[in-house]
Amino acid sequence: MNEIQIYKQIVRYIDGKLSHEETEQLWEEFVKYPEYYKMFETELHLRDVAREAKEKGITSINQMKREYGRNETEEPGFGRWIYAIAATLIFAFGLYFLTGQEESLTHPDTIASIHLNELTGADIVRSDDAVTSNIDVEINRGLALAYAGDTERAISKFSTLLFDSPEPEQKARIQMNLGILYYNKADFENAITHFEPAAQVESMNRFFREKAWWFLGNAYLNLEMLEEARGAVFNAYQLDGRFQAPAEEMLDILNGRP
Amino acid sequence: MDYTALVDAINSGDKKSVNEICADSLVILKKYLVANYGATPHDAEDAVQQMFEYLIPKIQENGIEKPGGLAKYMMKATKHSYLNHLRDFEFDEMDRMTEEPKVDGSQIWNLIDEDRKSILRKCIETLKLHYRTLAEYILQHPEADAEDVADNFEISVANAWTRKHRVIKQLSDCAEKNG
Repeated sequence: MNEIQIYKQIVRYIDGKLSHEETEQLWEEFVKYPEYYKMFETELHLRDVAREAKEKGITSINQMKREYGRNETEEPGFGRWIYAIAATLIFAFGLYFLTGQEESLTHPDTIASIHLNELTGADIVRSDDAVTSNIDVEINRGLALAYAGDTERAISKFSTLLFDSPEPEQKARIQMNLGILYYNKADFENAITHFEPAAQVESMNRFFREKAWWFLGNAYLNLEMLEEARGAVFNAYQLDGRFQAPAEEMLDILNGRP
Repeated sequence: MDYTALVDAINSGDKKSVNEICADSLVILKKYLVANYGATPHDAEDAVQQMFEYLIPKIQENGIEKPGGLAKYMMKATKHSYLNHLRDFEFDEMDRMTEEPKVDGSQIWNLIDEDRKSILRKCIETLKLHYRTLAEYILQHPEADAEDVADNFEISVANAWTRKHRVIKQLSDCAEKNG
């Protein structure tokens, strides 16, 4: 079983839906792989935290933070030393979070983010057609917004351009850029909806298509869509460009999975 | 758990390595008794210790035929070690025994630890973007399943499972670091 299948069994177990045999098998997995037990423990405790929150009428994380932050200082006096330890822990957590440590949103085997240098500008040689030429200008304006860090406006600009009947190559570039911007927001579902068509525009050169397949494969893997990831990364590998080496490495990793 | 490394450590009398290799598994075996047989932590501790004392000579005698089945063997031996608290029995009878104590799934809530919950709340606060949104949804709807999550966020059920799994992994890693 892969990790998501184990997780599904954990949920079924907590919901009381496993047979005795299935329960024994799950615990055997926990003994063999302690990280699975830790997932179970976290799911169980999260359910209890959520149940308690609902009973107290807590509906947001900020509200939970205020509620438990206040209660930790208002508890009655028995075992005060426990609260000294808790205060120390809270202080340590505060230091930990202030150092800017962030949990990664991407799968450990994928690229964490895509450099903005990978964004694609308009053709250097513009069409004589005024409409398509205007689209090229707007593509470059979208790039400028992205480079300036205004991601939301860049996304909005590129998304609007899709409705302006761009040529297939322009559309491919717009979708590549949207895919990259969404990927960097960890919105892998939207990234996929744009990388997929961009990768399949035959009139784009192989370096462009290789890049689209490679990014698509990474986006799929971030969503644990392993078969789709294998397919996309293999397509990138076959195009024999600058992503061939990392694609080969990723295929080795993917092929090592159950 | 690395069976080969465990056998080497046992045969060379390297107690420190034996403890390190088995540490996580022994804790989980105790939790197994608490969650499935209503054992008290104290009785679970005793049962697992007794199982381990029985296991070491078994391994030294090559008495466990399938190294891959070590986890299963440890679970069975732990369970029957706990039975010793209910009635007298000999370990050698273990393979001939057919009766199993009753399993009650609701006992998993005996595993809840308030310190762990406190750490988990802090970890929830560190979540970002759509993982934070999902955690907030779970707080509001503790009974929601993957289908409910998919409906609410307008994603596929498969993606809902993936997101839930990723949130749990992040929280699990965070709780380990801060626990």
